[in-house]
Amino acid sequence: MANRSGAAQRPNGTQGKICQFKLVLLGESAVGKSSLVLRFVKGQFHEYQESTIGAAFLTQTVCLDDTTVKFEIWDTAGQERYHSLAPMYYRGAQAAIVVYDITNQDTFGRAKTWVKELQRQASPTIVIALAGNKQDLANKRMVEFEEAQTYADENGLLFMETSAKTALNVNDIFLAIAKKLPKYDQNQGQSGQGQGRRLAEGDQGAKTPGNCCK
Amino acid sequence: MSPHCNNRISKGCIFNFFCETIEFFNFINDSEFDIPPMATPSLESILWDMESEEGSADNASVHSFQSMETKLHSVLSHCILQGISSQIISAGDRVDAGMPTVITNSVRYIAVGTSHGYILNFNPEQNLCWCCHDFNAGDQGAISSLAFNLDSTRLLAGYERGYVLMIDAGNGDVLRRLPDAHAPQTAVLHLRYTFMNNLALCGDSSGCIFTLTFNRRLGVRSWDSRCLFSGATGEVCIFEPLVHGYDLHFLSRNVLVAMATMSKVIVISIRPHIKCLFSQPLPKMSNSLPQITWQLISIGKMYQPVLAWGRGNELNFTRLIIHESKNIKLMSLRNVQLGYNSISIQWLGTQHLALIDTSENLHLLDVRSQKELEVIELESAELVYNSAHFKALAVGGCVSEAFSVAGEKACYNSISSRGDQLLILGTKAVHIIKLRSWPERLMYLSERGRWADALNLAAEEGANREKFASFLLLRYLESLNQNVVDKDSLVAAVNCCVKLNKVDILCNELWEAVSNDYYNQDWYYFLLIEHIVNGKLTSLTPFIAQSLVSHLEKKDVQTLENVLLILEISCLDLHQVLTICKKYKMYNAWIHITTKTIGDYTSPLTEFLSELTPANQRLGNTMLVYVSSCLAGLGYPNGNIPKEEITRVKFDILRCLEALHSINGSQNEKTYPYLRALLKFNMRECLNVIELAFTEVEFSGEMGLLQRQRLVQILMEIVKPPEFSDSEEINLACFICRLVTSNKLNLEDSFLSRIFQILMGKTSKSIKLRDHMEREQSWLDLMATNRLKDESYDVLLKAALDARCFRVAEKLYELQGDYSDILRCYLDDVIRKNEVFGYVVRHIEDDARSVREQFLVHFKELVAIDSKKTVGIVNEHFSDLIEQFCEMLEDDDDSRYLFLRELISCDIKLPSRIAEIYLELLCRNNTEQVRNFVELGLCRMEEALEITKKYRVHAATALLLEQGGEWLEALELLLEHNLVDHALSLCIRGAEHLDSEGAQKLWMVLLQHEKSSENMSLRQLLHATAPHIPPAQLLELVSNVKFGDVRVSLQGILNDYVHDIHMHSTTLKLLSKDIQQGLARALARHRRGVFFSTTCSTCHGSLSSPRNGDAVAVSAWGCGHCFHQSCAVGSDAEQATCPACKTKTSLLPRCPTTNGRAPSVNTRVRPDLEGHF
Repeated sequence: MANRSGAAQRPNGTQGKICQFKLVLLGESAVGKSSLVLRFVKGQFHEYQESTIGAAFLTQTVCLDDTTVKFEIWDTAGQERYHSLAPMYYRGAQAAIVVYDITNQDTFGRAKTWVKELQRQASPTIVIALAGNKQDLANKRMVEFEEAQTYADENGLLFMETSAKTALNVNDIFLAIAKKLPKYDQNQGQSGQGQGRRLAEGDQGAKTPGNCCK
Repeated sequence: MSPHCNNRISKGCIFNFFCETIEFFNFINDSEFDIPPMATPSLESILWDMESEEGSADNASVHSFQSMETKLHSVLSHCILQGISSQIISAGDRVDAGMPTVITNSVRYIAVGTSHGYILNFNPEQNLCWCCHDFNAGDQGAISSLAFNLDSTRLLAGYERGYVLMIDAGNGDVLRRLPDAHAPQTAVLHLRYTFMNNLALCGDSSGCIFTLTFNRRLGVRSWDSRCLFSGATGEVCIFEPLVHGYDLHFLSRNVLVAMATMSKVIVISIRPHIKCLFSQPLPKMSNSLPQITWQLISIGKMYQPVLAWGRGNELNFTRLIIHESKNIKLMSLRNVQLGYNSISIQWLGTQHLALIDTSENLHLLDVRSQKELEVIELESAELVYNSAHFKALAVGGCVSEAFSVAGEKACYNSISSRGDQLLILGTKAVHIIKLRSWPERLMYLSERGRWADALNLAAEEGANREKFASFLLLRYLESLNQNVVDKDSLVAAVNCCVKLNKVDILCNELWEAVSNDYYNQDWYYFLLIEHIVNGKLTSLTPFIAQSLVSHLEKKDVQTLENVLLILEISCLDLHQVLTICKKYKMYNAWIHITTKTIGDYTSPLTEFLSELTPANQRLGNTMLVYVSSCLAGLGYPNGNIPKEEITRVKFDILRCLEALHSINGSQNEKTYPYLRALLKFNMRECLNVIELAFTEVEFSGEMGLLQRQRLVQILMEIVKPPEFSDSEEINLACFICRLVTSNKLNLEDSFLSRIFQILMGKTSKSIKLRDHMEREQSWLDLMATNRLKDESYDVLLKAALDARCFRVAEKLYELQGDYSDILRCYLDDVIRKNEVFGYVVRHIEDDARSVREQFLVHFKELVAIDSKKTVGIVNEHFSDLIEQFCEMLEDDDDSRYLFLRELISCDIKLPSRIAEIYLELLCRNNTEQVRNFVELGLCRMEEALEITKKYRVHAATALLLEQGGEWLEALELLLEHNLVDHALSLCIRGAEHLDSEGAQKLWMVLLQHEKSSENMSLRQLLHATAPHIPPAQLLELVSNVKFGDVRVSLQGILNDYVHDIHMHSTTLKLLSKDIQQGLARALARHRRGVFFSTTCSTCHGSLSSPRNGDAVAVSAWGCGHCFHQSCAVGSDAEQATCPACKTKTSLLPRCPTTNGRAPSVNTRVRPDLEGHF
């Protein structure tokens, strides 16, 4: 799942940089990962979101200044049995959102272990965001904002409290991630046309007199 | 120095106008001349590049050419060297240089000779370096040959009038003039430098070769010429010194020259010693010239010179081998038959040969595969021929006839090859044919928008040169932005991406290109699926994978499952896929994905077993195979479980099967839900799976035994009525018994006895046959291994009989020596009924078993089982009791009938009483056979008649009547019941047995029968009747019928008549012919001359001398015998028989004898006709 980019002209004619990033959502089950993504991608919210099996894949494109950022989002399942799958998805990911439920202290603890796992095993440049979901249930809050903020600051994480239900901070956290991601000027960097030029040169070719002489 | 001055002057003036022409040509653009875009590369840019050809890339390009279709026309590029061509024409116009005649090239120059003796030298930029015309030499005619030396410092020019010049290639100065270097009055045909600058070769039109050696001592240039090969021994058409490879160590000391005469190819070494190395005859073709050409080819790590030579449609390759850097050997490689006659063979690069055929098509031949890659028509080039030089027209044309005929299509000097390029001299232009390299071909095709071809080519070759291929793909994608996607190129593009493993291009750019159009999308998916199913594509980007899955979900679920089994799991949206799998019950894909991702091998069981019902065969079988393969350590549906996982997986599966309750099981869930579900689905197969698993390592040894026992106990616990049927219980019991008897299980006695109870106790009739047989087998096995010794005989026997396990019962009887009821065991056993006969036959002699008595007792049943076998036994052992047997069967007509029928078919002579009984039975059961039976004549006549009459079996009755001699009665009976066939055969028989009157009577009756024509046409009837009744009478009988019916009869009569007439006349003819011949023979015999003896045949006295003084009277016969009249006593002249030989010939007329004169007889004798005929 390498970072792929290019400056090919899109059919819709949009000219500009296109960056594609792989983002993975991690967290205890029933903290609202799928809801968060659904809100971000489709703007929907289901009260009774079915439990994810394995991992679900979604994409969403956001525009950031002159750059188009395309997110490839892997929404992993929170259930313990699918835990072993997670490395497959966070390996090679440029960004991760670790979600916990602010009404459940255990999920915050689980979120911390996810963060540790990411820091240990994922790409060292990975951008990690911590999302305290279900902000709409703040009256049942069990994890204090400050506690999480402190933890996030200590570990260099983006942190927001979100609510998939009210759409609070949902787009913001994704945009914040998009901003934080490194965006190279891809047009000069890579393969693509450079090779082509070489082919063109190769065609005319620098020739040296051969050893075939009569 | 004066000649040089002349030169300079001429050169100067030519230069002036060439400057103009160059300017002029500078602003001619290509489009005016309709030149393809590749047509004006500078020579430098297309300069030969042997290194690049022979590098690693070369092998790749060979493959690409092999796989190329010729129609693509992308291998060769054909263009015109515009600059050179225009200057040649200009030179012709301005200084009357004439037409171009010769072309040659070296690394630095291209030189062209013209028909008026001008030599134009160009540099690779197509600029004219100099022009030379040696006025000093006088008019020497056209330039007929040119040759550069290896360093491109000297140019040798030969003229058609035999003059040779050496020119400084750098400035065009004449350095040496060689006016008499070769035979006088011949044209120079070839000039070639060897790799040594002071050694050149010259061939002339007399077929000789001369070596030209050059010296320079104290600034004085000299030269020497020596004849190397005289045309008298064979005219040399072409020679070619080996120049390539001079820098290789082994060839640096040897100057090798290959030459071709009119009949042979010869390779000689001229330095250090003159030596012939190789000589091969050429095919005889008077009208074509031999061709030879050298090339250095890498064979292994070595470069070795290969000579391609041929003539007409034959092409040969010969390789030069050097042994220990001294011995040079030539080895023939292969012979190729071409489909055309070649007039020129040239190497293009090291892998290809360019052959020009007589109709000026250039064929590109791949040397290794011998495949023709491409054909280019060169007709438009107007190739220059050198035939005038070959005929030496300019010097009087005194060449041999063979030489001039062969030289008709000579073009040795108008085609010049270098590296992978070929210069072709046309009358108006110089053409260049160039081999395109693989990237060039890609460029060429892509520039023409032939994307499908280009991409296919890239896909074939791209693995080695990925960057070209991927660039091509990008170019293609760019083109897609402007054009409509066409299917072929899309196929090629997808194929290319898959081949080169460009998943990102495939899934991103290509997808974007097709995503606008619904049909293209469909096509794109279709291509993807094809590649996936073929196993060539296993990974996609998640986005494409996701949309492919949802596409397939709507279209073809079966294919979806296959696709899911192949695709890498990491690119799948598991949530989507697993949901779909569950929805469409794609168990295989579900199991594959779940086990591979989570490594949770129990989940398939926990997930699906709850919905397993015996009706859901697919799931059930899937589960059984899954469990089986897991327990065997194999992956499902394919592949293997990682080695380190196997133990865990086996353990997990077992644990799951042995689980007392499921995780989310409700309160009233039965114990062992998973195993129970499997057992309920298919008891037998499930047990088979377990039995197979028991062979695994996990179930061996001490621990394994415990495992097995535990599992068996669980099974026992689960399988209980009423949930499981008797059959299933018996299945389990048999399973356990098998284990017990093979000592794989050690069970407690109480446990065993329960098994035995199941095994023996079930008497229900609903048990399936297969289960029943298994049960008997298990029971027998148990007895054989002595496991049932505790049970008493009576109990066992009773159980066996109750359970209808008659094999067991038989075994028990046997053990006990109680033979009286064994036969019963067979008879009661539905399955083994038929085996009873085997038993009877085996043991019938054994008195202890009293089989005979039992046979008699059970006779009726036996007949009912198989009458045939019974009869066989009866026939063998009880032949005297047949009547009793018949009586035994009295009350059962069917059995009796069957029994008797078999007896009859065994050809047993039955007593007539029984035969009559059978006849009666037969009349009842099978009237068809009655007549046949009656024919056997086993029955008494009256009784039989009575029976057949009773049952109205008329055919049989009639037969009986006939046998009784009452023919008419029989016939009438038959006719009455309309059995015309029988009636007819009766009549035929009658005709044999009765006198003609009786027979006629029968036939009359038959014919007169009114209904006869219903079943059988009258015609047939008449036909059958004809031999027996006089035709006239016959026609009278049928006077009222149609002509058609009697036609055949009439025809027969008429035919007979005609035949008789014919025979009569033939006989007469033969007779008269015989008479004629006899007459002729007799006449001939009597006309021949007869020798008469001069002695009497009786007394041997002389006939001429007088006898007793009397005049001698002599009788002579036609047979030549003569007698004294007196000696022929008794023979009467009237009788006309010779007394000596008794031949009836006439007595010759008496002739007067004269003294001293032998009777000279010269008479004609007539045959006695009457005597002969």
